[in-house]
Amino acid sequence: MANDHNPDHEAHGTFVLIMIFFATFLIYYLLNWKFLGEVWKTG
Amino acid sequence: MSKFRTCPTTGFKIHAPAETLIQINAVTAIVFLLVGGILGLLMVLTRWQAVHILDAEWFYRLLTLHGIAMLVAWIIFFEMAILYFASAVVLSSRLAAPWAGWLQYLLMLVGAAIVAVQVLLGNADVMFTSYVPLKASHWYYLGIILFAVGAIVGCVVFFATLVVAKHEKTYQGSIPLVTFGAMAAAIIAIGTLAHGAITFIPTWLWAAGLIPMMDPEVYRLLFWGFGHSSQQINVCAMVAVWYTLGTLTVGSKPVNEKVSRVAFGFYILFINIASEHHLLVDPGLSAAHKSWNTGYFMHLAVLASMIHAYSVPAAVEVALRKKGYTKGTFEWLKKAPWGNPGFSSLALSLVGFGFLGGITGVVYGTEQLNIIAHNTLRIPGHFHATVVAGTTLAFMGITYYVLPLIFRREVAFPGIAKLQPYFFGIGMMVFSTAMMFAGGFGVSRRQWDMTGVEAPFQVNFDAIVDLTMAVVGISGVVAVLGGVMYVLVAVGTLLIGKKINA
Amino acid sequence: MSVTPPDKHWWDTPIHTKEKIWLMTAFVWSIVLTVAMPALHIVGEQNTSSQYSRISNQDFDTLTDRFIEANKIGEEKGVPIVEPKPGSDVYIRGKQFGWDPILKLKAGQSYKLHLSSVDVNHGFSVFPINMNFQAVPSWDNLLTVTPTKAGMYTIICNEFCGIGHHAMIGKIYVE
Repeated sequence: MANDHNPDHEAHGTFVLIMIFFATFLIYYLLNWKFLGEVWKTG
Repeated sequence: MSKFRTCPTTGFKIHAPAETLIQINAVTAIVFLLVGGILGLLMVLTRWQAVHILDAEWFYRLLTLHGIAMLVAWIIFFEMAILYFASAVVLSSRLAAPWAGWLQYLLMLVGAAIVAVQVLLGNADVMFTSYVPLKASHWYYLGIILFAVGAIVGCVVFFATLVVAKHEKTYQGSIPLVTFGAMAAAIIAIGTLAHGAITFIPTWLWAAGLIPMMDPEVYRLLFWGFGHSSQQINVCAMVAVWYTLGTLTVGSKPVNEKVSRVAFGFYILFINIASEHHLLVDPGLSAAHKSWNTGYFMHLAVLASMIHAYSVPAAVEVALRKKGYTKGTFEWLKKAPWGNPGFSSLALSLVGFGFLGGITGVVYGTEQLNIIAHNTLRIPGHFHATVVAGTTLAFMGITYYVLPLIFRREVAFPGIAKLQPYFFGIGMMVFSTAMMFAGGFGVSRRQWDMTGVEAPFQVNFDAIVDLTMAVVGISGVVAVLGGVMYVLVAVGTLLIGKKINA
Repeated sequence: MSVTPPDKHWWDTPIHTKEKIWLMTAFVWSIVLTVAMPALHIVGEQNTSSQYSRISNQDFDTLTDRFIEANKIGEEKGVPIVEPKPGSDVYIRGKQFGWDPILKLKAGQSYKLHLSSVDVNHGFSVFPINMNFQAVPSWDNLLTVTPTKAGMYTIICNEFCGIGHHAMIGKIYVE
């Protein structure tokens, strides 16, 4: 039995919140690579 | 044993000298917060071009002082209080060498006073970073050195107290998580302050005319070994406060002690090599070196923060579900004690630090992405999210417990206290977001005027940038108002708060 | 409780499934973030430079003066305008409180841009595209740049360099 249903460990809401956090992170990160791609070539 | 009292709420045995030192450090911190807050108000009202309250000279001068008062004085005085609390109070131990605690306090106070006077006299228009060849009077660097030595003394008192507590068996088993987090902060502090010494002692001697100037790029490298690592002390202290607030507000228990402690260990091991993300677009370091170093050794310090980002709210959720709020996914969140300023501070601090400060920190600190972030308003936007919406708000939240537990007075003006975290937290989050948005358009940090009014060429920003800078101004004023509410509650409690007899 | 010593067996407490999933996700993400930087050096076109050298402020001053003399085509508000050959070495000098010379570059052509300061640190920020590099005295920060779009660009100094800092604005033309 998964310990997910153990009331001592039930944290489903936090899991949803952290996934929202991860999605935000991913989007902002990729968006910035897109912005960088628009500036002059440099190296 | 007359020097001890037992706290009726927590059962901790509190050593009188530890209590006094916590009080004096916390009060001093709050005074600096007030000073820094007033300066912050002047900053936003100047950067908001439609208001533009200060002239250029005073803007730069007071910006230097704003950085020192907040990032150095407020934060580190408060951290000294946290170190004494997390050692002597949490472990119910006597504080090792209280005289050394007083030495810490006096050195830091004298150091901060020297710095403040030098800046106000116009002898140190060099910003918080004081990059050479910009030169301040040698007194300025001496003030910083004295302050840092004081902080080292505080860390030593902390470690000595851990030894005393262990030796005198004031607790059973391992040290509590909060003490462990504070210990991580103190370990990083020692390394950080060593960097501070190798940066500022030669610079002090140079300013006094005794030795030649350090290479400007070497200075930048060494300075950030101090300047960034010191932010990691703040992160560690803040996370320790998060865990404490979880316990004090809803009775939460860390979901997994092992995971949380390993995460603190990651901070200690990997953050010290991260200082070079301030030098990503500098000469002097190869691209290979930059990407290796700023990867924080595979981003393990970032991983540590992501671990706490789960374990802190998870502990709160478990505790609230145990109280019967088990319906659906979010009943616990809806029924959480949002009217308790300790809880709302914790929640807003988590969101501000994680969503705004954390994500942007990793993005701006990525080797190539730094090209579109370095020295723009995106950077102060980022660190106001971490150090202000995150650390400062967490410290404000814990104050609502320190007041009854350590100062033994009921919190005055509970109505104001209840709203304070929302004004400060939300104001600061909007402020940071607006700054980062404006920075994305190329608005510079540390600049009195962004239009080029005194320059040979003008800069024409989009209308949206002007609007954003107005948002920076307004939200900054809201945040300062939240800060004033905090000071009002804290000072009000000390003066007229009802005494709690114990 | 976080303020009391942990259970005796805290080291052996198993990690809850959801937390395990998050730990693995976060760890994999950390690896992605780390690998992305070297990977973008291979596939990306905007990278930080590894070309730098030490140079004395006097030498940089001399090289910039020589560069201006050889390529000058005019002046704007007292600042010389230069039009260097594509592919050549180009100098930009930061000095309290101005950038010189004004560059006239061609879109799609690459240039070896030498960036430095002859007094204190300056910040080289190209507006409106928002590209930022550090100008450090006694260091030649050499960047190979290829302007992509024609237009007028301003250079904002974004490192505090003294009370006149905000007046330090330069210019680049790309045609």
